[in-house]
Amino acid sequence: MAKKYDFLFKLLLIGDSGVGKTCLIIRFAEDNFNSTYISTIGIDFKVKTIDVDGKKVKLQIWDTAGQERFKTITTAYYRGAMGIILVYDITDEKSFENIQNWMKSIKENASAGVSRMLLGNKCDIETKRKVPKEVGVKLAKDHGISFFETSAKSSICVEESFFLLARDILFKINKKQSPTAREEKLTPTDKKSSKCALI
Amino acid sequence: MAAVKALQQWCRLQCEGYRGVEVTNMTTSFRDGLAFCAILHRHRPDLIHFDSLRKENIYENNHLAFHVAEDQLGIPALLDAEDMVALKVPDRLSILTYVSQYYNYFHGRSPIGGMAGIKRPAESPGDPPSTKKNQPVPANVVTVPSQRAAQSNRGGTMSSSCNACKTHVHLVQRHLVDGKLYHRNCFKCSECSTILLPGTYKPGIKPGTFICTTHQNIPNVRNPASPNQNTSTLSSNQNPKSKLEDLVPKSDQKIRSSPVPAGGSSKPDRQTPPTSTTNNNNATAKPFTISALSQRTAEPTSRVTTPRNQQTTITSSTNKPPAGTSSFQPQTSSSVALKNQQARQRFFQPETGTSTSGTSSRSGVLASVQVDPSPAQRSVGVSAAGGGDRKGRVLLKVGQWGKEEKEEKERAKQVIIKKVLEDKMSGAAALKHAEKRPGAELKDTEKSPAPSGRVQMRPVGACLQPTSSPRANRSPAAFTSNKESRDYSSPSTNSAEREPVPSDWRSLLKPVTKDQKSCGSRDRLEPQSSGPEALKAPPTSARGTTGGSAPAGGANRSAGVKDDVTTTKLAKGNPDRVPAEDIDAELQQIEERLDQLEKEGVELEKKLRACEENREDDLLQNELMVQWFHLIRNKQVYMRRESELVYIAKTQDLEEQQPSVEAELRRLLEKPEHLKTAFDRKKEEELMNRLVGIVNDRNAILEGLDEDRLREEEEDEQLMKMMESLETKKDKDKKKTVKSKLFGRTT
Repeated sequence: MAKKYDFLFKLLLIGDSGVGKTCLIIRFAEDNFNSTYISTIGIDFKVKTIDVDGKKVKLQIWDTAGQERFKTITTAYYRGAMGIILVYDITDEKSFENIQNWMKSIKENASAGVSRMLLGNKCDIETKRKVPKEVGVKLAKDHGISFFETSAKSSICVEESFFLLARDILFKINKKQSPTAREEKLTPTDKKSSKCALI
Repeated sequence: MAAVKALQQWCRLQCEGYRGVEVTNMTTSFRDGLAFCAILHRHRPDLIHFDSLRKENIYENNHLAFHVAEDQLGIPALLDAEDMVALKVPDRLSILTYVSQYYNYFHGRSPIGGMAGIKRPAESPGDPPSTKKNQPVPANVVTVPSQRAAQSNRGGTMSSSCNACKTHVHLVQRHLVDGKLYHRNCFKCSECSTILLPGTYKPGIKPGTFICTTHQNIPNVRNPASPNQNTSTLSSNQNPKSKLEDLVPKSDQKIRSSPVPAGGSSKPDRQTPPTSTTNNNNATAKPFTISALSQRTAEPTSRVTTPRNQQTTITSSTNKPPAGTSSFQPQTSSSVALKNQQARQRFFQPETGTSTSGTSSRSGVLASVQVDPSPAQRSVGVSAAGGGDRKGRVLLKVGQWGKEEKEEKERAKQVIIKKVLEDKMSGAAALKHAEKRPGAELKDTEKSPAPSGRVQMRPVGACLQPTSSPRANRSPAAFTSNKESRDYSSPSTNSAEREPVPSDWRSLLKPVTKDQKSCGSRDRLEPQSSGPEALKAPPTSARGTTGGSAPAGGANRSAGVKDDVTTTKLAKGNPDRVPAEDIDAELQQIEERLDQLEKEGVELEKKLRACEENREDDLLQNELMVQWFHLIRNKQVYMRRESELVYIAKTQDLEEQQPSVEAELRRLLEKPEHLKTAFDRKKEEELMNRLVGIVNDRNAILEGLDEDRLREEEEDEQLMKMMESLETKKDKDKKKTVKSKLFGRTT
């Protein structure tokens, strides 16, 4: 309960139902995976404290229900988010197409300066891939945001992506606080996450 | 009296620059309430709009300060606003004690937000209008102070005797709820006799009574007399299906769980179905671990449980009449309480007698006290004054003050003012320095014998904070005390010493760091009683089963499977989880400690007052005073830890509730839309609200913690700035003397 962190960042995951948002969070926060599909109801969150560039950052990761019926509930939580992760399923074309809609939803509901990131999940199931990596890369590029292909199941790039987003937010904060101090170099650190194709 | 003087100096500094506030004594300077407001405002400008306060609104100002401090900062309201109006000179010891809590709070800042309590951010707007919340002050109260005074005079018992047991309440036992005074351990649930902790109770059915928030869930096992006795048997027979049925306005359980007018209670109750389920099924190991546990073990947990669900169903919960019961170690506490009461009664007979006398001497005492120029003597006198005031308080001698007293007071005041001015040169400046801990720290760390910086305060000599953070090495108190003891007090310069030497009382506040590390989270408090041990076994098993069994037992099998998954997830994902039984055990021990402290406190208060009356030896008195502050601080620390535990338990409870609410909801959601009845839909909505409410409450707790963190940072920053500006100022004049005095020869 004590003060154990320097920052509290609120992240939010959105994307179609079934793309693996909850699994990503559980993988990240608890390093766990369960293949049973349980659709998220409404909204939930998990907390994990990480170390970013020497700062203790407490991440509160909001998990949203992808189903349309919960839209009104979930969109209410966009506003408070400092980082939003858009997730699609690389084996599900529709979920990728819908990213555009989710983007729109961010625009309508989230704060202006929110950091975004695109994740193509389930990259462990290469055989069922429907969305080529390049397409994801391009979409992310078009929006000027980072992109990873992840697998919550095989634990690929999950941690990296969360760290990157956290670092991104931290960077923004530092920039705001001390416009002159640029000691936080975002790009080099980003590139560190080597094995994950980062754009 | 060094300790008192130091505290007064602190107050004066806190109030510096506040219009119409000047702390020249520890009685009348506080009467109009502005000083309290100023101190609060200095640290938390967001809580009080100071400029809107008017000096003449004694009741309002005090009321505001006490409530803000209690509700927002968790500082128990020792004082009663009505008394402040009624007493021309408020009881000095009471003021001292109360203000020392401010000091402890603002200088030993717990990361969680307070020494004595934790604000409860998770309380949603729909919360039943807490009895503790500011009640609109009737206009006439303010405009007609005399009337108010008369009222409180009439209820003279109100300010000194317990609303529950009608015996006198000693300072250390004071527990004010909704303007009513209780012994801390007389403030009990009217259903299960559990001692009610902040944030864990709600108004009872009968006006003026309170019950555990958990009450509709937890039948009281312990208390055979309780109407719920049969409840538990009944409920255990019910199968989990009853969950759904709970929502139907038919069930007997509401009624039986609390003898409430059916119309009133039953409806709202229904809105917390999971909760009620808990109690129904507790016999069959249900998910709401904490409540289930507490019920099984009849342990303190129950009071911790405070199902958030109440707040979850925002609209509905508001008017929810409390129902049900939880039982909580009634044996120990109540027996102790009983003992205490007896002791109290014994004390009190003679005391009241004496209090009638000595009115006239009071002001004289006051004058001598405050005026005395030599520091050593000063300290003595001060406490003597306290004695006189106290009588005033006890008897509520409104308007009994003779004219000559007033004159005397005036004279005294003038001397004091003069004195204060003198002091300002040296003392105040020194104090000021002392206050800027962070800054000072930076420059003079080596001077402080203890690790500098803040420490999570803990009771001296006890190891209370298993979860305490590494911040332990930041200890301003220790640091500050060095200087002050030197500046204001007797020859003893060794501030590190914790003997009750007539050194500054703050030195005694020095957090004891040594124990802390050695204590594991498990054995933080040496298990004194068999209670905790006995507890352990059953709860564990209960928790183990909780997750799966509840939902699985539900009507929908397929859902059950999923629920299992969900709950496992949840259970696994909580490495930081504090086992409920540990919380229980610790709460229980805190309770015992508090009882012990209060016992000691009662004795000490008597001694102090006697001392003041007899104008005894300065040294003795200061020593007592130091002990007193020490004790108050320890009590505060325990109480803060207590609320922290409640806090933890609440979050955990929420986390445990969530899966089952979710499971229930899921079952409903899976039902084909065309098969849903109107009732299903309504319930679905309710559950959805509940679920979202639980999540929001969890979020609120998290954000509350974060607010505290941010505020602390801000404060540190402010202090740094103040330190800097002080530096430059001091450079000009007294730098050498003051600073060297402050930092130069500390050891």
